[in-house]
Amino acid sequence: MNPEDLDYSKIKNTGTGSHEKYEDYQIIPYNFDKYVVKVKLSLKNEFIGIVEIKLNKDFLSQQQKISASDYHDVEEFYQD
Amino acid sequence: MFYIDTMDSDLRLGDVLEWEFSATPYIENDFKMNLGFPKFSVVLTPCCSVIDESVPTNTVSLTPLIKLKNSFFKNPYWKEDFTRLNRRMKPEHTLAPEHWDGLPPEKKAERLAKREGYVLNSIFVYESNDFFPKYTIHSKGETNPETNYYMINFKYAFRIDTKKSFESPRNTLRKRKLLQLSIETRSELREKLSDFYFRIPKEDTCELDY
Repeated sequence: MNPEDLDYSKIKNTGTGSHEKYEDYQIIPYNFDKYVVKVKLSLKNEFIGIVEIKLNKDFLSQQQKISASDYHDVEEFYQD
Repeated sequence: MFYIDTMDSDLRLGDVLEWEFSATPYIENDFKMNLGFPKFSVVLTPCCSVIDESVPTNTVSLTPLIKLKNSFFKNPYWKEDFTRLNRRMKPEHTLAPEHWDGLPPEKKAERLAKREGYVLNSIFVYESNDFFPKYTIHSKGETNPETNYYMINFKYAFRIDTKKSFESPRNTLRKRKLLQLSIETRSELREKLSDFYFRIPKEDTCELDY
């Protein structure tokens, strides 16, 4: 069996009753600094072009978010 | 190990110096200069920035080593080892039992929902040491214990400019180096210091969250 036959997305796209015409390209989001660059690639991953550049709305790492949010405010209890 | 046994002669973040003088500009109605006379001061400049050959004057940030607050002794978890204040802790360890037990249920639940986190974010505690003089803690209704734990407050930093390079063995501050933190302790200091500056005000978070 060809390994590609086990690819769920391919099986889904060629499933019975599917009449949709599929594009011959894919768009991959790529995180660069605080931006997300949407890159257009062929199905063989050849570069075609850049579709969109936008601000990454989630540029804090999970660790940074935890670090910022889990401070315990206790100053009022330790006044001399 | 809080300090290392055999220190080198370079100035590093967290080093304790026998530096007994600080000056702080102060504004009341007029401009004043407050003079401080701590027995010790601590280097707050990161190790890699102490020596800067691109400028003619050498500058290092220091902060005075100060006594712990009396109220810290109310918390038995802290009292066992005050350097616990340098690390993240569970919510139930952040308050003295008298305060924790007195919290309304919704406030307690709010605190318990948080993960381990820092308390007193501008404070870093220095472990007791033979060089540090003991002082008395004044607490109501108890015997007054003695301690030689000290702490620094990141907000109390001041700077020293010097003509002589920090690389020179004749540099005054270099000659007054007394204690050097272990790599692990310096890492804890760096982490807490970073966290102190990293906090994002809520209004900024709203602006950043498109």
